[in-house]
Parts: sequence; structure tokens; C-alpha cells
Amino acid sequence: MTESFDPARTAAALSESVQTVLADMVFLDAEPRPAGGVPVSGESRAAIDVLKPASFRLELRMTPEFAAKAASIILCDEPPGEAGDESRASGSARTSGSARGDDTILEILNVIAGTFVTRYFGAGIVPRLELPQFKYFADGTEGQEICSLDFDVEGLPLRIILSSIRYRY
Amino acid sequence: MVSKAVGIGEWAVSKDPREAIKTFALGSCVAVVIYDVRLRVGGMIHIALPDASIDPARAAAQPGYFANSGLPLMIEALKRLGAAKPHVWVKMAGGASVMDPVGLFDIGKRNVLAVKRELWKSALGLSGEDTGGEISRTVTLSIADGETTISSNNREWKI
Amino acid sequence: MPLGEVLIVDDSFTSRMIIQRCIEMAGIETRGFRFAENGLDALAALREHKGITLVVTDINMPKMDGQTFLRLLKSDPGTAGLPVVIVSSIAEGDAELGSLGAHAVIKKPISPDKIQHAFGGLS
Repeated sequence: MTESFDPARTAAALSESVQTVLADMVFLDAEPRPAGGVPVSGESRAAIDVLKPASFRLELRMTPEFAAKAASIILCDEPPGEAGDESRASGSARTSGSARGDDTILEILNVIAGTFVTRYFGAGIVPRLELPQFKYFADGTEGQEICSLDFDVEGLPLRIILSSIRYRY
Repeated sequence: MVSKAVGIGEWAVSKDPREAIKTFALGSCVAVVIYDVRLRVGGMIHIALPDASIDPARAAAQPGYFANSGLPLMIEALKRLGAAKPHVWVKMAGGASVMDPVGLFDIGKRNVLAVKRELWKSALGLSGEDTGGEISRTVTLSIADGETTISSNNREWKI
Repeated sequence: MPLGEVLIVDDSFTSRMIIQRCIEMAGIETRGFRFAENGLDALAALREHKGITLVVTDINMPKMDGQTFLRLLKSDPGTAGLPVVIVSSIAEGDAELGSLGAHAVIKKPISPDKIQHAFGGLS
């Protein structure tokens, strides 16, 4: 079922979700910006489909620098060129730098999605989310764009888009 | 009680139970207070800006001015006095809402987040926080017992 | 008294690290951490490592989700008594998780405070 999203409420809930999650999880300040800012070249796109209580997609578009910065903060990596810390977790798998950046972005998107669902639809709803993933090609499931917001995250651009999904039940 | 004043961009640590460390007029600046309840040693830093990379020369001359250059130094100084993680708490005050000169972002909010980033890196949790709003805060740490008092506009409260 | 080993179950490396760090920042003493990427691997870890005394798990995972994992855990007499804390982006208000025997449910983003609150009563 396709939810009919109220534009103003959607934008407010989505903006608050992005700002709250980036502040609480990555300790970064996301300042809303007028539309039209994320660079096309080199951008990465991560998406998560929500199936319940409504069917829609959230997509994050960011530069590799944003992913690297978010990962280095959360995972407490040393900046490039300096001696790295050994992983502090006993038994955890060590993964390459870009893979960890990707994983961090997917987890951020996952948490933004859960936060948005609660803000927009209310607490007490148990949503059904698919696993977040990076999008490299158009796969025919893209629907209509419903809301698009741009942010400046301490000098790095970020865009989040809420859209409908095709061929969903 | 002997009062030890900490100015903007400065920090101080103490193990003298007669001392109180105090900093004044925190607007967008943030004061971070760290105290070891077992040894009764503590420190306070008055941070003005988040990131030393915007002014490396200033960071070298006055590391306490920036969250990411000053806070690690104060933490190291407390470790040298014997402060250890299981016995330590951390509190933060300040970060009032003040827009940067160009009006693009809230410096107070950025300072608060920068401190939280550094605490995350050091795996130190926050036990108390009094930040935001639009008031100017003065913070006092009593080394004898760790009591942390905030005052503003003739009001006083503890965190 | 420190907890034994804590098993953290989440398909995200980032999330596993955040959970571990928040437990440490909350001042909770443990005898170490084990990790699994899904419910299936978690069950294997529990068979192999008998020192695990607490499980912290996500819900939305590939191969075996958190609800299925929790059901299997609670239906096995060998693991039914293990306390399980759910940490998930979609967990708020899910009465089913409580009725399945979860000790606590935390909604992401987590924090040391939320961990401390959820771990209350565990030893």
C-alpha cells in the first residue's frame, strides 16, 4: 500500500531524523541547506526499503569523504597516514577501510530509517525494513520522489531522498 | 577554599582538596570537568572551538582552545596524577546557541558534539550535561568532593 | 560482579563496535566479547563458547533474524536462561520481543546510558 505522505510533516520528520542520528551516533552537526547541493561526480548512494507500515525507500547520497569521516569517528580510526590502532575488539573481524566506511553508512541509514518511521508514524508501530544496501544501477524499482533534503555536515554535503517504490506489496 | 581560575583555551588539574577550579562566562564555549572519585583528583578545560585544524599555530600555542587538541592533553595530565577510568566521571557545561559570524552554523552545538567525539574516542561516558540554551554559564569544580556547580544570572545549580 | 563473556549479534561491523564501546563506557565489567553476524552464527558461537552469559542482538539480520534466534534460544533448555538484550533500529514498542523473553529492548542509536538502564539487574 502506498502511503500518501504529508509533504511538510515528512520533511520535518526526515530532517529531524537525520540531524538527531548524525548528532547522537556520529557526533556530527548536520545543518539543513537549500536544495540542489550534492555533487554528482563520485557520490555514493545507499538505500533502504521500508515495507511496513508503508512502502517507501530512503536513499542517502554522499561523497566518499563523508563515509570515511563517519567511519573514522565511530570506529575511532586514526586519520590516514598515521599509525592505526589495533582493533580493540577481541574476536572481531578486521575489514578494509572502504568496506568499513560502507558498513558505517549502511548502519547510519538503517538507524535513520527506524527513527523516521517512529517520528512520522508514531511509537508503538513495529516497522518492517529490508536490509540497507548500496545502489550502483537503476533496477527499475525506483518510484516517484516524494521528499528530498540537503545538508551540510560540517563541510561535507549529504542528501536524503524519500521516494515511493514500484512493484511492492 | 582556594580558587584556581581557568580562562578561555586553558585547562587545569588538581589534587589539592583545598582548591576549586573555576571558569567564567561560557557562552558557546564548553567546559569539560573530569573527576576521579577514588583519588579525589580533578580537572577542567574551557574549550572555545571544535577543531584545531582550522588554526594549527594557535593549537600549538594554546591547545586547550580546541576540543580535539586540548581534551586529550587534560586527560593525559589526569592519568599522570593517577586518575583511572573505572573511578572517573565526566561532566560538560556550556555550548550555548551562538551562530558563527557568517550565520551558517551553531558554534555552541558544534563544540558540544566535538567534545562528545573526543570522549567517544577515549571511551569516556558523560555523567552530567548542562548545555545549549542561550545563557552564559560559570562552572566550579570542588576538588575535595567533586561537587560541580553551575551559576548564571544569580541562580546556582549542580550537575 | 563482572558479567561473563558477552555475545554481540549484528550483521553490521559498525553496530557491533558501537555496542561494545557503549558497554565499556557504561562501566560494565565483562570477561570479554564474542561476535556473530546473524542468528545462525550466534547459535554456533553459543555451542562453542560456554563462557557467554549475556547476548545482545539486533533483529533485522540476514540468514536468521533476531526474533527467530530469540525463539530458538528460549526453546532450548541449555540456553533458555540466558538473558538477551535486543538492540535494534525498529525495536521500540514491540511487545512480542518482551513476550519472547527478551530482558530488555533498546532502540538505536544506543548510548552508554541506555545500556546501563537495560543491563540493570544483570550480574
